[in-house]
Amino acid sequence: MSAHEVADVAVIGGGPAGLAAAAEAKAAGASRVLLLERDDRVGGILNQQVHDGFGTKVFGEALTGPEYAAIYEDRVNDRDVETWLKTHVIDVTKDRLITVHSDKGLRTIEAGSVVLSMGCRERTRGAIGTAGTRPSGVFTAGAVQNYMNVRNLAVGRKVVILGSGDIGLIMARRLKLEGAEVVCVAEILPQPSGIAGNMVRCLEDFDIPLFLSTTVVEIHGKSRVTGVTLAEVGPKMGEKKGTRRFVECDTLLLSVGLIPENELTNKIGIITNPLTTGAIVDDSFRTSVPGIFSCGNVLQVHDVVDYATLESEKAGIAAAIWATTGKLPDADIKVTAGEGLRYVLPATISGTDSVDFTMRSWKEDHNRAIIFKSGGEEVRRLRMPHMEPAGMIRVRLGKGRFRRIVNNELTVEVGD
Amino acid sequence: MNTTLICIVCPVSCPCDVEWTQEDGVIKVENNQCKLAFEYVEGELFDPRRMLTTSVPVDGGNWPLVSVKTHVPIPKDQMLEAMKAIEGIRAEAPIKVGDVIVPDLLGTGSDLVATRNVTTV
Amino acid sequence: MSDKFDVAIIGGGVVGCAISRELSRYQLSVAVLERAGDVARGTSGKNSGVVHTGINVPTGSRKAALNVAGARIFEDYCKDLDVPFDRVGKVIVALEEDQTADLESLMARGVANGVPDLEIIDSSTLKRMEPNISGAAALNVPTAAIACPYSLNIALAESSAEAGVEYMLNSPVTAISGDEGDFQITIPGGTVNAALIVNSAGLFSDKIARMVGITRWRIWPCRGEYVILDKRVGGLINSMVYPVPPKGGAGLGVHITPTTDGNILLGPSADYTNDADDVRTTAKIRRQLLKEASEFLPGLSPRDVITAYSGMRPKLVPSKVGGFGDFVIEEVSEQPGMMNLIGIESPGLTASPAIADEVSDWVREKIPAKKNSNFKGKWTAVDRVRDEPPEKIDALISEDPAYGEIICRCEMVTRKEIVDSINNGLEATSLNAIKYRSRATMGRCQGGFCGPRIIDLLIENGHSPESLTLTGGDSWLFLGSVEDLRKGKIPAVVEATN
Repeated sequence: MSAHEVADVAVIGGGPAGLAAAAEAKAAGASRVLLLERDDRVGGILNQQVHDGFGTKVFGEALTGPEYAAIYEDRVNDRDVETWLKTHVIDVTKDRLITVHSDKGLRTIEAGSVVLSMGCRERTRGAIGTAGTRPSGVFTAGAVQNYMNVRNLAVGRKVVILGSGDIGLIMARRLKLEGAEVVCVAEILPQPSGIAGNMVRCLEDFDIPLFLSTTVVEIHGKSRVTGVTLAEVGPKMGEKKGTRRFVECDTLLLSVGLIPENELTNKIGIITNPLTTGAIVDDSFRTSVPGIFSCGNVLQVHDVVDYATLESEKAGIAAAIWATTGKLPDADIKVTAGEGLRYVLPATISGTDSVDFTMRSWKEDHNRAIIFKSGGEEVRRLRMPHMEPAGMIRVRLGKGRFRRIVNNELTVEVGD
Repeated sequence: MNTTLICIVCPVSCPCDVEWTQEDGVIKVENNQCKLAFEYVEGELFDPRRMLTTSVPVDGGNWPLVSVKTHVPIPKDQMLEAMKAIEGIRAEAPIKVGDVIVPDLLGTGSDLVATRNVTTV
Repeated sequence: MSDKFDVAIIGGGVVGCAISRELSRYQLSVAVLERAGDVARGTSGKNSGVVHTGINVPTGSRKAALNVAGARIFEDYCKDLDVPFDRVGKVIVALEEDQTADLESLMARGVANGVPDLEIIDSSTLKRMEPNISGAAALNVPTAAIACPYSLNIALAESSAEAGVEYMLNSPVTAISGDEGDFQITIPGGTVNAALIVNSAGLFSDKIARMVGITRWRIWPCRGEYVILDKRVGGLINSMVYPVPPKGGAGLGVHITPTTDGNILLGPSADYTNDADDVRTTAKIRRQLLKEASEFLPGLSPRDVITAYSGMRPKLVPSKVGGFGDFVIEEVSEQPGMMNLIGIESPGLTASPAIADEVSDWVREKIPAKKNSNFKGKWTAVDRVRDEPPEKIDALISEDPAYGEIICRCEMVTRKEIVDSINNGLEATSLNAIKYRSRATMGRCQGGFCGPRIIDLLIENGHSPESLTLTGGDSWLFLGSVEDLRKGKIPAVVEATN
């Protein structure tokens, strides 16, 4: 190893989560904060998201991705966070010894705290098992977003989009505006996967058809995509007989989900939640391994960057406190996702400060409520006019409510 | 009249219940999480507008494209027309966030401005 | 292309390229004509990568002789060419007691074919060797090995190109005229003249033979689908796990094979098709492969699958007839001067060095030649960071900082390795050419992160975006710039006809 470094806080991944965590860790008193980024610039996916809608929660206005990223990039620079670009983390031990690979050779970093903010990747054709030939012209939506918005490369002119995830919807509009024909968006589920706002401004505004309970069952074309076969699916995702139809296109875009990049998390041996695939954390975003924190999309896939930012700022502050004092409040109150919820984060809380809980429901529902209970008694109730799996629910539980928590247990559920 | 409109200002996508009349405009908005919804709903009912975001090729920059937006929303039905209007536009590095690339796009009163810094190479 | 070659090899699969390497030892002018945009694009690139021992082929057949001869030298062969090879061994598992008789007859044939160290093991020994596999008994074949099939194919091609063999990619042969000593071979845009022809066109070898009037062979393409499992579950098996071969089937049955890179392959299926290019994958077979593999390995999940792909076997016996078809390696009376290699399916990879020897002898009997001083007995690929210990990685980076930039993080491939792949000696510059040389994009993200960066490196190394393809030919990746799209200047996609 060519060099050994010491840092209070090392943040792995310089996307929106890592930028926010690093900036706040520095502000909270960590003297040396390292931001480790494998790309040649920070900002992550925001650099290619030229559309607007970022920042309404944090700044009260709708910024574009590059504008939002620039604010946090300036912030880490102003606060003297050390950013190492083109630096690839190849290992992290339980004792927070980080090994990085860069053109300076292999280096180790002994970190007081480590923040994991690696983000997520897109699900691919291979992962969803789309049958057919293997021609050129099958891309994930995020890759096309990168080619079009960063690299000035057009992938096709007649496009079918599989999956109604947000990036897919955004790309439908983008392609349409740029002169491509967007034949349709096909979604295997009976409801859209993207948020409602994108259904309006990306599809309805441009009369792009959305076919629900429909998927691509075969890809055609030997050299380049020449078309796809669509078919309807039944309630158990089985193909409905007699519903196959061929649609001509030169490009198939996949927007079929995001997978948190937890390879490093798993390698360290951090306990994860099978439903989020991310780490199990407390209200300081501490993982099961002391001194290692997790936030942003690697922890849970967010649909609003503002919330990833807010979450990561807290993680960054906690990481700084841990690194400088070795102390964070114990989180003894166990939080359980009850009826109607896929998961709730954090998994444990300390009861010392207000907590922003994040959760997702199993299904779309109307006029229900999110109910916090402890010892069978209601702690808090929030009316939910509308909820859907595509929309993360965020509920604050104020400090004042904590006195109603008994036996160190809290359940969050959907109720009436 | 009562209408449900999905607020599209941010990804939260509040499904707003709107009470309105042609004469009095928007009377009441419910189910919204923030105040931006009121303005959106009013606009959507009487003068629907959208932000146009796209990019423009750059000569001599560290990025081949500069991302741009209309500094205020433009009428929704002029989106494609606006794209046509900027079809041949190229910009030259260096560019700073907020630099006007096309002033008063299509006479809408909205400038097309840069949303990314591009430095010269 | 007015040069006249001593030998034109038609087909850049593992057999054609092994022959080209063998001939590159001598002062012979050799051309390899490959229809695809790279070598190893047909049967040779998409198979289980198994170095067979010779247990599965009838005693006394050409397959048996060449298989055993190839297997004997294969490890050194891979070593000389810096190709991953691992003697992982194989267990052929009887799920039920009543299959043990089949194991015994397999063993008897193996012994007759000269395969060493065979033994039948009971279920508890099997459990000890393969804790995750259940079976009543198994035939243990400890000398069976795996190699990386496309790496070998590429190393054979690139090493012989370095020694002077001319590789012509994207060159499908459309006609052959002339005779021994003076053949004219038509490819798009020109004619290649050669004294001798080696027909190692695999799936298309019957069509090449027909171009000179040999009509006695017909190839029956038989598709085999595979799924690849994530390295995360790579530790589930230690050796290859095979079922008892299905009677009268087209293949050896769905097997579970580790790869030299730490993944696991399930497959292949066996479906006859009329179209040798029909390498599609199907939902049905993907499910079936997982189901059949689960009989041996309970607990496999669809979530463990990275992707699926298909290979194609060039069978000499149609489905209706079934049974065994031997390799054909013959110069026939209808056309002297042309060596035909027909029906070279499994164990063709293992047999390829032995086949190459035989064809080399045939060539040199006709055209005696001196040794070529440019031939290198040892050929090495660029150093791979992922295979190296930390001290070596540090040394590599200080020697060349391009080793310090990881482009493909799933497979740990550096900028140095990718640029080296881009500038390969065959001028194969498709995204897949880079993938098969460097492993970039082969991991769990399938190029989601590194794809755009590889495109940057291709452009930096002098390739225009419009020239970039996925697999060569007309498999264009980009149809223009965003500006072109905006101005309506993007051309419609026309399906290639060849």
